[in-house]
Amino acid sequence: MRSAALAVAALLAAGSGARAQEAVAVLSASAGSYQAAYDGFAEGFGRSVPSFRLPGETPATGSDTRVVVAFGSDAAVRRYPDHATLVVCLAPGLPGSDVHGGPFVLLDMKPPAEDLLGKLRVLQPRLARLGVLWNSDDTRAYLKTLKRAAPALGVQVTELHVADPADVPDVLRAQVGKLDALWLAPDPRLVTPQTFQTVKQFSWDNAIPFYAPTSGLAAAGAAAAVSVGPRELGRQAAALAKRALAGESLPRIVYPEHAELIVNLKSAEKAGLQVDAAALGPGAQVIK
Amino acid sequence: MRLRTKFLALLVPVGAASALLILVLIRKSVHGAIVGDLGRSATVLAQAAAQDAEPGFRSRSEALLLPVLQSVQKNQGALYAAALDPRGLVLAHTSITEKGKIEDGAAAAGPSVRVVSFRGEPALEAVVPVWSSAPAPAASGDSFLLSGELPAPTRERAGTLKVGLPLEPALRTEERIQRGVVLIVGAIGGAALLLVLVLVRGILEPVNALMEGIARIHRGQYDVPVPLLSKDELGDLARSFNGMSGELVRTTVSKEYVEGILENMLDPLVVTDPEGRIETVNPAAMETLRFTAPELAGRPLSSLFPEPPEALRSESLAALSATGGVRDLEATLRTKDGRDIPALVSASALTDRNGRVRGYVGVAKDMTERKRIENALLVAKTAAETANKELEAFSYSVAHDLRAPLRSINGFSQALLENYSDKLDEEGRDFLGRVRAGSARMALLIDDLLRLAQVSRSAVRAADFDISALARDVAAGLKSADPERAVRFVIADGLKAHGDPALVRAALENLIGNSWKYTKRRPSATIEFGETVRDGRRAYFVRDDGAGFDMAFAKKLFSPFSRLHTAAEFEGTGIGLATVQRIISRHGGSIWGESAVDKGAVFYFTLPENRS
Repeated sequence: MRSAALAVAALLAAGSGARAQEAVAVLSASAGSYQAAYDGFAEGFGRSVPSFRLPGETPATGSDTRVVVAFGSDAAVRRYPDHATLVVCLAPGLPGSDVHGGPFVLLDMKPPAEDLLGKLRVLQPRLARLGVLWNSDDTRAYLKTLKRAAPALGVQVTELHVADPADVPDVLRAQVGKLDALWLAPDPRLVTPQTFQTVKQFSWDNAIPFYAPTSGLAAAGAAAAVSVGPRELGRQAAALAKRALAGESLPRIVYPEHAELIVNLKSAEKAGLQVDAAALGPGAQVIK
Repeated sequence: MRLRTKFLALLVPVGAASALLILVLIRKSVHGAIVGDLGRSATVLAQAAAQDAEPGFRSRSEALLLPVLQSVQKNQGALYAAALDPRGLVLAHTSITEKGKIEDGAAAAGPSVRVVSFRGEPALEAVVPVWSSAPAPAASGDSFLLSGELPAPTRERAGTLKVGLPLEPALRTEERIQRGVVLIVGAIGGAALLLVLVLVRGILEPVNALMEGIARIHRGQYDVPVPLLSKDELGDLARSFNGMSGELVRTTVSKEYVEGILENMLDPLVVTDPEGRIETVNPAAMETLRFTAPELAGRPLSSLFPEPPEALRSESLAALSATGGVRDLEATLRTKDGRDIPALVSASALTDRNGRVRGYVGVAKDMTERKRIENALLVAKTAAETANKELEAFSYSVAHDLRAPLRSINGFSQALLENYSDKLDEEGRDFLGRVRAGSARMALLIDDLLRLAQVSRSAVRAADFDISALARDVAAGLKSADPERAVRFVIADGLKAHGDPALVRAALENLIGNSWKYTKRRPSATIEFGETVRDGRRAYFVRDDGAGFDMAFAKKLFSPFSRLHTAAEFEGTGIGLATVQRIISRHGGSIWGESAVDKGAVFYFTLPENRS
């Protein structure tokens, strides 16, 4: 009777086009950054993994599923077997760490602090006062590492905590003349279209370059972004998944490596930043 | 100023001014349309945003107003958007640092549009008032009762919304349109200019052709027609011009023609000014005098002569116009190398239509060769005359002196025959007979020679006379000498001639006498005298139907002592036709004969025509 039930379940899984395996990928959407990250994951993982794209597809996991790789917050907050390790990436707005009952690893989007500051200094050599607009508790820990790394690079980091996005104008007005640049932390509650527009206009009006956490925001009008691309994040998620499958115990937050500098030349110019594209180094991307 | 320049000077400024005016008007119109359109868009945009922003105005909350303003900015591409309270205090602004400032324009009661500069960028700012509706007051019983109207809801001024749309794109569009307009106007202007140039060329080409034609006429070339390049008034003008030049060719000697004559004249020609200073010389003059034209130019005409003739002295030239000039004045020209040239000089005054003396023209005939020939001829003539006279005298004296011994021979021969006939045998008598016949023939020869000499020496006394009568007289003499002969004379009546009647009679006696002689073997003969025209000349003729002669020997006919028949056939000395020819040539006429053996002969001769 048990064998028959397993056979029926297997048939059902096959019928749905998906079969539970030891590693499963779940995408919050079928296109965009998630798909790029998944491509990087598939490339890094080295073999085919069942993938499910929300909201149309239902992830098929089972007792043999040992690792679930979730791309995006929507994919991360779904229920997965507790015995499986949940590797999450591209989920900056993930609410807390209690989303999963089992092992959990968050591949953060924020680049390593030294890497961020070093690249911003390359872009803006006279950068000495960097204001960081932030909101979430997750960023608080990152700020500590950032502030630790800053003096070595000759930069003073000013925390600009914004409890409510509506406070952004007041926070910014108070910093006129006190900052050389702004960095917007990847806090989903903070980074809204309105606040982004407010910060961008403030940046342009006051010739204070503002830097974003993602390449998408650089394309949308930030002067530059220091971030790890989705494909690279996917590759690094694949490495974490492999480590989990190998039985290795992983930390809850892992900061990615290989951050890239993406420069929007027009926005930089509007923000009063003269960029020598040739001096940016071979890894930099330029949006003209 | 040239006609083309005038055209361009007139049309280019007018065209440029028109183009400029068009550009200014179009620019103004385009600017008005674009800015107006943009202003209406900005106003509509601001009014739409004002409704959304009303709650924010009521609460004076930046947090409520900013999203609305940012929405306008982001979605409508506004440069900025601002919300002001009724006093002009900025409640919210897309540039957040503007908050709290006081701006003007907040008091306007209605929408307005203006061009402003925002952070260095031109912008079109729409300012619209924002009203908040207050609930209508409760209608009092009286007012509603009296008017039947509900009280209108009250409106309060909540503030002002400003939306600044960037003018840069509109200005770029305007600039693009203007560039297009400038290109079009430029192209039209260029095409118009090209058209004008083509038109001007079309006009000027016939005009230039006419000018060229006039210049050619000025240079004296009348026979070169102007091409007919158009069918308009200029074409008519060219046609008229060609008619005029054609008429000039027919009525006027062209300068080219005159120059051609001067160039090709073999005799030296010199033209002077009214003062007698040389202006023009022809190549023959330069060649004769060995001077170049520049060397002769300006020299007095009299300087060409070592001893200028009186009429050609500078002070005498004026008289030439009165006298009509001098002709064939013998003078001596002196060349550059000092050689003297005998010449015949003719000179006259050159006058214009009004009789004013424009200068003098002189032509010289180089007489050097002629003088040499004349001198040679004179020497030859003198020698010939001397020789001739000597010869004639010799001939006459010989002939005359021969007569005496001949008469002696003849007389003594006859005396021997008469007185001593019986003492001579037959042979002796025959010898004497032959002596007498020979002496008689010799006497005849001497007579003929004397006559020939006489003809040559005697003067020609020309007069008009009736040559028909003369011929008839000669014929009558012959008939009377031998009345037995059956000879018919046909003599044209009334023929007149001019010459020496005695000499012409001698000629006719010879010619008609020859006809009489050479027809003697005919049982009957006809001898004609008349007049005919040969080779355009009036000629008298004597024709017979006698023995005739072979034309192969015609050249010998008029040589003395030349005979085409033997004395046995026809007697004669061979001097007769030589005498006739001498007579005719002394009259200036000519004589020739035509004949064939046994076909008769005809002799033609001419005499001077000036019969009165």
